[in-house]
Amino acid sequence: MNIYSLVWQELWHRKSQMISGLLAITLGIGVIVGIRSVAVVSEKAVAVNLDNLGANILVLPQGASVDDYYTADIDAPTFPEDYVERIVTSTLPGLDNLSPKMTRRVKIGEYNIVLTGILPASEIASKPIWQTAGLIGNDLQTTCALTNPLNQSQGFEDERLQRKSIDSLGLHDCLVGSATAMRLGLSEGSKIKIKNSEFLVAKVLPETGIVDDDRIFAHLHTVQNLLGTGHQISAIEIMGCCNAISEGLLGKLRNILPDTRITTIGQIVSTQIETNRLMNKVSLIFLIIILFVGGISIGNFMWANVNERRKELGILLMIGAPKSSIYIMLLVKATILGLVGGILGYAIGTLAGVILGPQLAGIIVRPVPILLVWSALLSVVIAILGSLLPAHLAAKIEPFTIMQEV
Amino acid sequence: MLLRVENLSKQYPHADGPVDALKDITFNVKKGIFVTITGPSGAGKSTLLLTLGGLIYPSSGHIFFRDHALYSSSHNGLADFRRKHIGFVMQNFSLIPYLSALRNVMIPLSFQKMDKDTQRKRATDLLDSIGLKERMNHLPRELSAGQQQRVAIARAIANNPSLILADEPTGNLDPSLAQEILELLKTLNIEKGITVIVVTHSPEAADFGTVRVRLDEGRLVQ
Repeated sequence: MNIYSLVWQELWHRKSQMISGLLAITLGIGVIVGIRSVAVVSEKAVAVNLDNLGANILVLPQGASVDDYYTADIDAPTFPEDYVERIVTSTLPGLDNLSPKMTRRVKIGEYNIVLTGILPASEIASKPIWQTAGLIGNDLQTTCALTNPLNQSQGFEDERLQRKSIDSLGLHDCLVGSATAMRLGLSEGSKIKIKNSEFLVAKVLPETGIVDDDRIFAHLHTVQNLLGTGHQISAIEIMGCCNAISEGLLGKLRNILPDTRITTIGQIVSTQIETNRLMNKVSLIFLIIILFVGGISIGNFMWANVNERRKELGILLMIGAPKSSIYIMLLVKATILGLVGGILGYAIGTLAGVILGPQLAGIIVRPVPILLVWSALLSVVIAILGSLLPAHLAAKIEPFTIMQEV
Repeated sequence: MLLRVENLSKQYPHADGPVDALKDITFNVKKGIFVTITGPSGAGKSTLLLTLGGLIYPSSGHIFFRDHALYSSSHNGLADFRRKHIGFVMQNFSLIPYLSALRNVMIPLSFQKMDKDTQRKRATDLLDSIGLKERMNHLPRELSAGQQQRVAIARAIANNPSLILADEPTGNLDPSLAQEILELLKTLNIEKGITVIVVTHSPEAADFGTVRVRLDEGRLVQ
């Protein structure tokens, strides 16, 4: 016989009370786990969707403006292509697809057209709208998962390798923006002469509504040769994880590339960050509600339990139980209820997420094992906090008042 | 001297003014005697018993247990005193309803940090000695009133106390069972040398005392 067996016997004796106490914790934790399970999947889905918005970080030469980048000013400064390698070989987390570019205006017939040199696979990967035209690049899955097994399953054992662009556009092939194709009368399979070199139009890009419609894209190294710039580029577009950006990714990039200007494409980044913040806030609000409701419920349950057991606790005090034993008994009981309630809550919340997620939110929810640890911890803490006051009051019971109640 | 009571008074607060439960009581209790305290309802019998047991702080006066001032101790000190030296037997048996007879007797032993096997053996022996070995796994509600009171007595003596304080131990029992319980207390008093103080209304029970005391309106009158 010890305190633990006394607690167990009491719990077992009042089964219906135990079940109602467990129910309060289980449902509270179940709600949190259900919401978090759905939120985890949603965050991933949102991250993938946000990736589809395209690059969100722009690396420009020092002294260049974003206008220079978009207008392809002939005198716009450049920087070495090696800078891509510097980023690739860095261990900075939160960086995905890198798209180096060399952009200049060239004269084709009577028109001034913007010629942009790209490394095709990375460019296509960062522009989902191009992919709808049948151009296939790396499937990025999600930018924020550095060790995403989905990416690894594509054969990239070291995920940083994924950032290396894969050349799949012929050295004398080009992609033509829809407006330029119309203006120059080009279609797929046409030939076009740029600065005395002949290019085959591999694809006419779909209309995007952005500057890409007025451009011709060719292989970066061909464009560099054509323009005589050597291994220089005008910009690197990067898809950065929005969380990493808010945690100082830009500063870290500036340390790697001190003589460049690094800027974010504000609207995209702010949308990404705001979306993530909203998800986190919703989870936090529910957590606070459950903490209050759960704490009050368990406190109420323990208070009722103490009141019902006044005589029994008085007997224990009468025969010499120290007040600390009464405290410990009630807190051990709260811990047991919290632990069991947390585990059951995790099971119920996960089950609800898995079953209801596809039906209500159209997403496939999978169990998140780490939530089991958090559920157990959270529910034990809630149960103990809610029981502190009842335990304190129980320890203050005067045994003689109970002994005189016949 | 086991107990020395000096000028003991106890007042309970009340809206109409304090109520005197005990008034300036002085007496001594020698080791190994059987004391019965009688008196009308409201005479202060139970208050006296609970004060002697370290359960109610007196308003004034002193109680010395083996020359140690009882109420100079802290709450934990008083709990320690009850655990080591006092066995309580109450009218309503005061058993934990969801514990078997055996576990009820094991409780005070568990507060002494005794290991489980020793607790079990001691509790079994005690229940055997009062003829309840066959019923040791029964819950209190499965026992008769007399059996429940015997379990309570077994629990009271589990820690080898030097003093048993019994508040109307036969109040809920029919005369034959009452006689049985009083004889059991008498046996413990004689054979084990445990000092017994019994508060009772019953003249038959009072006759068991080697020392008989009468309280009236909070004063010792006999």
